[in-house]
Amino acid sequence: MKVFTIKGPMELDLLSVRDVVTICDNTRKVASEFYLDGELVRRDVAVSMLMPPNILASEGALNGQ
Amino acid sequence: MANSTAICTSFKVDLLQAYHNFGTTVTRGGTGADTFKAALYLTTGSIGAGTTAYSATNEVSGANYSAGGVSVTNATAPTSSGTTAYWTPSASIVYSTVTLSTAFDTVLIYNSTNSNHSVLSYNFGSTTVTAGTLTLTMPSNAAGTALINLA
Repeated sequence: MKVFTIKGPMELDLLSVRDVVTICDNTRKVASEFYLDGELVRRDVAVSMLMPPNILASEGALNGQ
Repeated sequence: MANSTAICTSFKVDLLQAYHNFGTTVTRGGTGADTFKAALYLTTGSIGAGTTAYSATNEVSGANYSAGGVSVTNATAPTSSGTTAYWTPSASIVYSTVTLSTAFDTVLIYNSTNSNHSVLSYNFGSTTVTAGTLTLTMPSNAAGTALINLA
């Protein structure tokens, strides 16, 4: 199986792959890094949005009460 | 059931579908769904609540990334559950085979049909992509978890 890299398509067997998982307060990120002899030749990132921005629609009071 | 004070839930859904115009400038030209796009911004940018429209300032650049970003898939109309109106893109936002070497951390979703007015920004933390794919997986399209909630 070949994957696209900065050096063009390369056999996956030639590459070492490392997944880096990062979780912060609103996001989970998985970075899949592909190395050829220690050189980074491809990096994919998958971001999962965990906490959306909320909008609160609240009614006001009559006469400023 | 007694009368009560409330923002009507249907109004919240209507807001997401442009039924109401309290201003004097009508900007809408049609009744179809608008096209929304998603642009990426460098960590040095200042995209956020004060952003009124898409701008190329501090936008990422790199192989296979086009200024303005990619279109957002919008196949599911806004709806509501309980008193919350909500909407979420109906597919992940994907930037394929891009190289974005300068650190970026934010996506801005904006209305490319209507003067590129901004909708929301989302900071997912600093990252880069090298000859790869950036996938932004949307949250579940439900009240409280959807990308846009009018609660």
